Amino acid sequence: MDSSEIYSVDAVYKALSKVYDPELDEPITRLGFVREVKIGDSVEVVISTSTYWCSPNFIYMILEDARREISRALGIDPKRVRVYIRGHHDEDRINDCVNRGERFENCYRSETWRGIEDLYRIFLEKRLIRRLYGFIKIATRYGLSLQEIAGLRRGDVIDLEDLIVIRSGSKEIRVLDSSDIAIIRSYVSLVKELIPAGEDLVIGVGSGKPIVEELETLLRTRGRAIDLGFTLNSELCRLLLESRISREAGSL
Amino acid sequence: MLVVEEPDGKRHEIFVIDYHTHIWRGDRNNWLRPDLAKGWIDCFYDYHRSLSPKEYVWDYETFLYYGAERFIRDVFVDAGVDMAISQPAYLQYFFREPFGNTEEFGKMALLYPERFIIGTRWDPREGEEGKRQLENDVRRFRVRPWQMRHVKLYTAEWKAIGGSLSRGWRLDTKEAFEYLEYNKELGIDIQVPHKGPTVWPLDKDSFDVHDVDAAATSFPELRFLVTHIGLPRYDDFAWIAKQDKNIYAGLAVATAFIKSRPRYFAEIIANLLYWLGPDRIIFGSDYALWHPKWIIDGLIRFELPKDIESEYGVELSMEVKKKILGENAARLWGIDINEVKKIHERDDISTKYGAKPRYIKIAEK
Repeated sequence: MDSSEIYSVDAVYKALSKVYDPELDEPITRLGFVREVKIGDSVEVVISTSTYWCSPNFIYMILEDARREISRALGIDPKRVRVYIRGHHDEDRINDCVNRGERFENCYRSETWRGIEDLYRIFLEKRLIRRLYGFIKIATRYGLSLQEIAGLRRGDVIDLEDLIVIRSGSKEIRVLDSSDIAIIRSYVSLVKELIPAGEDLVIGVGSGKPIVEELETLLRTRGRAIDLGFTLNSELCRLLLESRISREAGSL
Repeated sequence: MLVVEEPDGKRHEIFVIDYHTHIWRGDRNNWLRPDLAKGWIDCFYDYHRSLSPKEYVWDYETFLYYGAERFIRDVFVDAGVDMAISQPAYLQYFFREPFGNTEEFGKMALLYPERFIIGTRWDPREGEEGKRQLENDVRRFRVRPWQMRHVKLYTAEWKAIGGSLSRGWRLDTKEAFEYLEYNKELGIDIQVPHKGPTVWPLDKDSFDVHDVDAAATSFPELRFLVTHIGLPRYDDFAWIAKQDKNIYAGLAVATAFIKSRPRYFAEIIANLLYWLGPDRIIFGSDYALWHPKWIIDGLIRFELPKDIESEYGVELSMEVKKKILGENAARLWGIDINEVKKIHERDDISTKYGAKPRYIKIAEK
């Protein structure tokens, strides 16, 4: 059987939609980073980012995630998945290392102390806080108090495709707005990904203070600043990528 | 200078200081490593094109190098900026002569010291030799008290050291602290940290501004004006700026959102007013990344949407705009606005080039 019959381009895109730019909290497919998908004996993906200068460590995370997600989704050996960054100042080294399955700290042996796992975790936490902030904003807008939000269990959020129902005591909230639904869904899915077995819905804010106080602070300070930071980064990235693509098409 | 008339007839004279301007050397003759140099200026050009209004977009060749004459016309005459401050990044791994073109800006600062404010830069990897250079720079350009009061600290600068490449440095190291100590002796009390895409070691977040926090806490007598409001790490910047009162927010890049993304700009300003208050926010255009005229006009006319105003509990009044556009920078650099205004009335930029106060009338809604 011809391999292109086994792996569809759609399946590759679907796998890539699970790969997030850690600095932007958006999937690389939505950011327009995916430039080419080729299917032959192996799967080849080419991505470019908004600038020639993106930090090598974040590019590395994106490419490693892409390789893993594709091989997992298609059920093939990672060796048969080749992912490339194009138009980057360090592309030769990064492409070579990532596709050999080399760890970041070995690829940049003389310039690192350790791996990029800590960095990955820091940005995962920021993404969690950002999504939690979005969730709290929506839930309070629909009339839930912070006390009620703090007490929510995962089973209290019922996702019915075009509608999300949130139950808190005798209250029942029906969320119909599609952008609100997307934000709530993105928060809940990250919670489940991070702690698959738990029941609590509100996670990531345990510094010892009462949780309602934590949520209030998050809403007014850290969460709002993190949310704005991600929003600005994404917007700049999108604008720069658009400008870059049109400039390169005109080969300036 | 701006003369702004509000709909009720109230007039404001607004003195404008742009903390972030360049006369760079991006021309092809200056490309030492062409791929990297081109990659650098192309990225700048993408910033320029993506956020400038159409009528302000330059052709690529002009963007590579535009020189002091064009700078004077654009910044002082067209935009009504009163004083312009340089923030030179040298990037000598990419360019033959410093991209940050201190030579040309320096000539202007010597000719028009009440208009062009020059600063320099340092790099802790340059050791004792770098300190001597710093001292020479101060001796040469400190022609007025506000000259050579600041250094741009671009921590992502690449440098060849003993045959290998070093891709940056951090502000919280022993070597950097030695330079900060030395700054105090030289009267360089304003540090302008600027983060970039690389830093040593590469497993760290190169945009992280926590090293600024360490330096600002250890040197409370120095002021730290963080460029681009710490973007792309705005949240960390806001946090450290709230705690360290000697940290200031440089608006370059953020201001460029004003026209095409006004809602985002409103969120930025409201956020900054909430975290830092009105006295530590400083206007900058990053010219020639963006022409200051449309940014200044945008800011003068800008009103915070009511929902944002009440969510954050802040206001962007004309008095606050006045602080952001000039008064805060004047206080930082020790500039007596009234004194300088008198000199401007009869200097060459006014008489020869024709710079005069720019009148802006705010229409009734």
